[in-house]
Amino acid sequence: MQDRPTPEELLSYARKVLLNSILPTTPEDKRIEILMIASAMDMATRAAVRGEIPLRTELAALCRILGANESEGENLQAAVLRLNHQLVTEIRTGTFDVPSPQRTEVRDHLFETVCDKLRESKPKHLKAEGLS
Amino acid sequence: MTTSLESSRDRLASYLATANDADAAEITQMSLLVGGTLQENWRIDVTFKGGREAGVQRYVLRTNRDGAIPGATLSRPQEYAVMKAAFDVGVAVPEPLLLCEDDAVIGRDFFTMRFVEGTASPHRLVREEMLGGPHDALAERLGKEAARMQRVTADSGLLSFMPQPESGAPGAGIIAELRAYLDTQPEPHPVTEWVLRWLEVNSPPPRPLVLCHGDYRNGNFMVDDSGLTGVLDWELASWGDPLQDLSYFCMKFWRFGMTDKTAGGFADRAALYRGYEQESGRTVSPEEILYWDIMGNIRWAVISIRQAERHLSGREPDLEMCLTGRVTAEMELEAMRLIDEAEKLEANNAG
Repeated sequence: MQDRPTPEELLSYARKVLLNSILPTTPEDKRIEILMIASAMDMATRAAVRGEIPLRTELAALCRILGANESEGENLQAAVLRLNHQLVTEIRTGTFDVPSPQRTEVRDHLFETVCDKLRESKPKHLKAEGLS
Repeated sequence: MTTSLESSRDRLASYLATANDADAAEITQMSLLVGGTLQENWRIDVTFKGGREAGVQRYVLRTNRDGAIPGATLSRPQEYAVMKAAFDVGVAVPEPLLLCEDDAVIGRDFFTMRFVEGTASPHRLVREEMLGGPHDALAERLGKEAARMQRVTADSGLLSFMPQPESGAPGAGIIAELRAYLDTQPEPHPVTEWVLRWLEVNSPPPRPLVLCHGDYRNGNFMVDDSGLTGVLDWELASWGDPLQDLSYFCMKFWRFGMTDKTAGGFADRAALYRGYEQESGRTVSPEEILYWDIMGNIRWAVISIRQAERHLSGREPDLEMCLTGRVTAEMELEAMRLIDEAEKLEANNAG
């Protein structure tokens, strides 16, 4: 186990220093870059806190929808990629075109993945949209 | 970047003199204007001795950003031709003046246009009530401009370099282009694909294709205190459906936080439609525009993937482009919600 600070503690304090000490002394034309760096650190902090959970949840949903199984020894990221490729092919070829419980299930899964991407990248946007 | 054009100052002055039949030309000011991830815009003040532009003239020189890789957008000669076609049918574009494809002048293709006063800052426009004149009138005017550019039609024989989608569903060309790009990417985008499939299955009946600006939104036109001074940035122009630009103008992403003001964050979209309807004689129906609202969002989603890829590939490292990869989900979310809305509307109409 790694010694503290945790990745979250490292990133969030580094961001605080950036915004509180560096930003006020930064020339006007470079301020936007500092704010962009802070935003990138913000996303990375949330990703560090969330860990593997979002990918595990997505994998389980994909297996359910596609009737697939996790391949033994396959890396988590690779498994999600593989099944998303398969899902894309099914979408393009019209497998889910006709209204059905399966179509609803896929639509709901996709809606959830978008919300989940925003939970990490821009939770404020999600909140503004009345979602969480 | 500043030095790259400044080192061409004398060659540029001499080119401008010759092109305008002047005895001499002196560049008295040269400064890079803000904005533009793909292009650079330079303000150039020139004093001509004799010739067609005798006296002091203020221009904007537009060229590819140094190091930018030409992508899916129009080249500078093509963009110049589009601006000229729009100018000729009375659209408020800065007057295009000269196109130069001789690398010996500044090392890249460029064109010049007349400088127009004002600001293109979307953040200012959504916050400053008096900027651009009364905002409803500004939106109406922009609706009229959208109608005017549609006087250039795909069957006019003009702008033949712009691909004409095969006859059929009006969105089919865009859908095929977006899918072709997604196929070049290692990561799949299931939500974007879901929306593209919906657009394919629910395509409206075809209509004659017209010139679309392609990026018609707050941030791509200039205003001063009295109103509109010019429509800018024509690099994404293409043939398309008459409702495409109007819908894109109203995308939530382009409201800059003022989401209840549905036309660019500064007015109501009804004002934009009013102007368009007055000038074109066509009626804008909510059902028809909804299709293009969904298309506009997903097109922007793919553009954001493309922007991020330019950074991620290592070709054009840039923090802003890198972060753009994380806004894709905002457009995907909006597109999914608009599909729900369209399906409810259809169910109500059917019921």
